[in-house]
This record gives sequence, structure tokens and C-alpha cells, in this order.
Amino acid sequence: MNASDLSLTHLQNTAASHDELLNFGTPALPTNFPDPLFSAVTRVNASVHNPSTGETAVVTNVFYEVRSDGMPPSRAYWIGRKLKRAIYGCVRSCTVLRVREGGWNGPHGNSFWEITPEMAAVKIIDLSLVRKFRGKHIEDPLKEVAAMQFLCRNGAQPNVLPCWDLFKDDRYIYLCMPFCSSGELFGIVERSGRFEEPVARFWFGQLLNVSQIVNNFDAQHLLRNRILLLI
Amino acid sequence: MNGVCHRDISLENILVDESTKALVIDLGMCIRIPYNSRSGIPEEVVDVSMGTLRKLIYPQGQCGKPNYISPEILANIEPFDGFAVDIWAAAIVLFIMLVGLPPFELASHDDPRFRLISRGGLHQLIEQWQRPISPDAIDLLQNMLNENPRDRLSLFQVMDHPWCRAV
Repeated sequence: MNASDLSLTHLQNTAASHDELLNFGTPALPTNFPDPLFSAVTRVNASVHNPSTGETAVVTNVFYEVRSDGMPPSRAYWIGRKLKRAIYGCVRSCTVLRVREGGWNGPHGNSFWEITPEMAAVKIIDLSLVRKFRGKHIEDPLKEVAAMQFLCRNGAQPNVLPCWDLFKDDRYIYLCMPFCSSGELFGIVERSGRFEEPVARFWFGQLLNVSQIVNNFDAQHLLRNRILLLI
Repeated sequence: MNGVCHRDISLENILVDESTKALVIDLGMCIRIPYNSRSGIPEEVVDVSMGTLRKLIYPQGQCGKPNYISPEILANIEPFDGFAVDIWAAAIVLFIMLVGLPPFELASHDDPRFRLISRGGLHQLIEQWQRPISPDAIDLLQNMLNENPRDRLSLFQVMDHPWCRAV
């Protein structure tokens, strides 16, 4: 299957009417996402340096990936305040840490960390609640992490919040994502009352971009070239 | 390539980062859309990577936030198109952004505002509320909010609509 064949079928899928879908094939059940792959994690008390104040302190609740090759993780997460409650746990903000120069003492040693300007949001999913609600609730957190990992498998998509890390230990799943400092678009609309049309178009365009990503269709490109494609 | 339907698009599920980039979250309702195989056997299912036309999906239960659920997902009887349910929710997002309120509580005939829009009266609702929006915006919303998914704009038609193409 070459790229232009795929583009053409993406175009067909984007333009297809309900009747075309109905006439072309029989309905089916959704297909499954691949099972998510979890990395090993450790939760420690860590020595953290703050470069902007020059202070160093031992803090609790730092977690990071335990890599099988013994190398330091790209990010460690220092758990902060609760942002949101969820059915299976909560979402917390995290300060992203990195290993200080020469401060790595192996995944299970006392390493030395420093604060970065980066912030993360981590969804902490309590596995005992997952087991308790299995099949009783339509929202399945394992499906969410599977979908997120699937959508990130070829790198982050432009308008879907990416997954930086996915960990599991005996009690929790940790889904680590970038922190979005401006909050929900809902709040921005609410504060404005409503948007001027160019502002709404700006946000709506990004939402359509999601549809393209979710369906992997390079619409702007195809719209520019649609006459060529349709001839 | 992804071939995924979100099923829970809403203003609450769009986060904004410090550079005004919008990022969709909450993939817990996502489903992978089935696609037709190239073998010509109608029952055979493959994923998006074969470059074929997608299939309709057997009802999967009601899901999404009440304001945003499409009529076909609410009814949960007929096979649905994974694209069309996200288009519906995107229309509700756009309506709230432009008007400041959701068009109706629920996409059900028990809801008088839903009945009005289903009859093609979206412009009347806008007039009643005295929150004017442009004729192009009304046309786009009315055609995205077609009760029957057969008559709803496709993603292509939405992107190609004069309101979306305006600079």
C-alpha cells in the first residue's frame, strides 16, 4: 500500500456518507486496542535540588521508571497537589525532575535530582478499585491507557494529550502526561461568556485536527490537493 | 494511522497548554473503528491500515456527556458511524463556543429545543436567545446537528464549509 493510495482512502473515509458505509459492508464490533505495555516503577524519598533557590531537600513521593539497563530515566516525577478526582483514583500535578550531573546511583540507589521547569499531570489509578468495578462501569481505565498508548505509538499527535510514561506497581497505574497550565477550554469559554467567531474558529480548527489525527487524515494537505486526487 | 472514535468529545475534555494549543483528553471511551477487508468478504474485519472504507459499528451502549450525546448513540438501536458521533459532539462544542450555552439538554424528542433544531429551526433558537451568529455559522451548525446521521455533514464537508475556510 503506497502513500497516495492511503491518502485516497483517507479522503474517501472522510467524505463517505452513511449510506455508502451501509451499502459497502456489514456492520461490525469495534476491534481491540493492543494491551498496554507498562514499565516498572519505583517510589522513593529523594534528594532534590532547586536550581533557582540553590536549596536541596529530601522530599517524599518521587517516582520514576526502573529501566532494565540500569540507566537513569528521562524524567522523575515529584507528586504534588490533587487536580481532579476520578472514579478509579485521582489526577495530581507533578514537578518533573532530572538526575543531577553525576548524581545517578542506579535505579535503587539514592540518586540526586534537580527540579526542571517542566510540569506533569499524573493519573493515579488504584488497581483495587479497577478490580472492584470491573465490568460494572462503562469507563474502563485500562482501555483508556491502552488507547492513549496506541495513539502515541508513533510519537505524540498534535492535538491529543500525549502519554510520557506508563507505569504499574502492585497497587497503582501511573499515567504521566504533560500538565496543561491553561486548564479546560470549558473554563475559557465560561469566563468569556462566548467567543467571537475567529476565536471559535481557532479552537474548532484544532478540534478538527484531532479528528484528522484520530482518523489519521492529512486534511489540509488533501484539501489543497483534492482536485488532483479527484480527477 | 489510527481509525479511532473518541465518543466523549466535550469542552471539558479539551485542555489548553501555555501556548494556546488545544489537547483532547479522556480516551476512556475511545473505540477502534472496524474497516472492511480487501477480500470482498463482507463480514471480515480489519483495521485502518489496510486503506479501506470503515464499517458501521453495532450499538455499544450510551456514552458521553448528556449535552454531547448524538441521537443515534442515545437511541442505541441502529449501527452507528464512528466519525458521525464525533462530528455531532464537535458541533455541540462549536455551538457552546459561539452562543455560550448548549443547544439542548439531550438529543431527544422530549427536549423542545432539540425538536426545534431537528425541524431546521436552529436560526430561530439563535434569534430567541438574542445571541446572533453569522449565517455561515448557523448553516454549519444546523447541518452538523442533523438528527439523521445520513444527512449530517461528513468530516470532509465540515472542513470544506465556508465558515471553516474563512480566514
